[in-house]
This record gives sequence, structure tokens and C-alpha cells, in this order.
Amino acid sequence: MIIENQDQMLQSVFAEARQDLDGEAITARVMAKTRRQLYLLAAGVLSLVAALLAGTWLVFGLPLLEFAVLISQFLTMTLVDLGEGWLALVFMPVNNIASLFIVTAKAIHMGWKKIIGVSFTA
Amino acid sequence: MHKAQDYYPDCPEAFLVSLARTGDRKAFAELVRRRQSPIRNLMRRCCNDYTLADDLTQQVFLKVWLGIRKLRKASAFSGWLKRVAVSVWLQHIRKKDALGDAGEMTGNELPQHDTTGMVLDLDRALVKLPNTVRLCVVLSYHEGMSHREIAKLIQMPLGTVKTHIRNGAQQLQQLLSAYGNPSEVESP
Repeated sequence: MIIENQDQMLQSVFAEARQDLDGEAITARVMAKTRRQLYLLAAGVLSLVAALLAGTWLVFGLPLLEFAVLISQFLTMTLVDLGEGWLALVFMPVNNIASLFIVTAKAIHMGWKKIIGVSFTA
Repeated sequence: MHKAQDYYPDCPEAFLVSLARTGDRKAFAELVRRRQSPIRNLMRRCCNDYTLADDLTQQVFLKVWLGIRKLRKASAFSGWLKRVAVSVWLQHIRKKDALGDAGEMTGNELPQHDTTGMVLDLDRALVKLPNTVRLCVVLSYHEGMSHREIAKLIQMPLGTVKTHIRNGAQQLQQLLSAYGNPSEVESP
């Protein structure tokens, strides 16, 4: 290899100084460091996920819970006041806003299917 | 039954680089095994402290491991590795500068083992050169890089690099003059 005006003596000294060094020990040390790096990365990612989850719960957890309670209170409101006797107990599963929604949705679904069916037969 | 990894020592480097880019640690270990010797030699010439040279070599390969996914071409690995090595060395020098320990090495950090008299003499002579001059001389004579390549690598004007190499080589010639005249060389 001829590089710009290099001194021959220095070239040969540098060439002779180049040693073929055994690499097992240093390879093991490098790989141990890369493994440690991997563990650190995994620990960092886990910590970040945990922090994000905790933060999300702190910000949105309580409002969501309150909202769910409000919805469930609204859906279980009775449609007709039947007092507190056995009749109220019998009709309790259907005597609320939730069941009204379900019945309405079912009726719309059936009506829609009927309309579609009619259009096909026509 | 043989595992795929058993064949890594016989694989071409570009293939190993491609595997390492996908996170294959065994392939990367094979790359380290193959490339550690030139990098350690480079660091030894730069710092004349074999323990420090090994520490810096480990830093180089750790940086390579962290950045290898960004390497676009597997064939560019060799040049990239050299760039990382030089940048680790420059960072080390800057850190020493920042700590007020910028003085040139004293030569007390002598090699401990596996050294011939000539290697010792070369490393002792290199230590007497200023850091940047030494780096330019080592990259030119040890790594066989052209002046233009060195200027690009260490981001220094071409003229400055040429001057550093000329001055450094002159100093080394004086310090190692015995090796220019075989009759003056001490027999081992």
C-alpha cells in the first residue's frame, strides 16, 4: 500500500508493531456489556409503561369510574312506579330504561330486517 | 445437530453485519472477535496504555452495537467501525481536555505484556507527539489512510493534516532513528 510520500522506515516500524491479539476475553466483556445494555433498556421500557399506566389511571381513572356509575344509575331507573311489593320484584328486570333501550333496539333491528326482506322479495 | 451459529466463523462479514443489524448477538460477537485486534492496535498506538486501549475498544463496540441498526449498507461496516473508533478516541481526548488533564501523555502508561522492544519504542515515541499530530500520524501510517480521508474523518483542513503528518513523521524519524540503520538496532 503506497500512501502519499510515506517514510519507508516508519512504515515498516508501524507494520511490525501491528499485533494479532487474542480476542476471546475482550469479546466476552463486550457481549456482557451489550447484555447489560439490553437489560437496562428492558427495565427502562417497563418503567415507562408502568409510569404511563399509572399516569393514565390518575388522570382518567376516577372520572371514568364516576361516569360509569352515573350511566348505570341512569339505566336502572324504573319506568313505571310499582311500589315495593312482589309485582315490583317480578317486573324489575324489564321495568327500567336499559330494557327499554334493548326492546327499542330489537324492534328497530327486526323492522330493518323486514324492510330489507320486503325489498328483496319485491 | 449443528446450529446455524456454529457456521458463523466461516461466514462473510457482510452476512454477519446483516444478521447483527437484526439483533443477532452471536453474529455480533463474531464480528467483535474478528475486528477487535485492529481496533485495539489502533487504540494502543493512540494512547500507549493497554488497559485504556481495551476500555476504549469496548466502548467502540458498544457504540457499534447500539448503532448497527442504522447502518444502511453492510459493506460499509469497515469504514464505519473506523469512524466510530476515531470518534471514541477524540471524545476521550476532549474529556481529558475538559478535566484539565490535556497535557500530553507522560509515557508512564507503559505496555505491560506481549510487547517487543520495537513496539515499546514506537509507543514511547508516539506519546511524545501532541494528541492531534499523533492521531494523524497513526491514521496515516497505521491505518494506511490517505491525507484526504484523514481530513474528512477528523474534520480538519487538509493542509493542517498534511503539516501534522509531516511534522509528526519527522519527530518519529528522529526518535526512532535506530530502526533506520540496522547496525544500531539492539538485538533482542
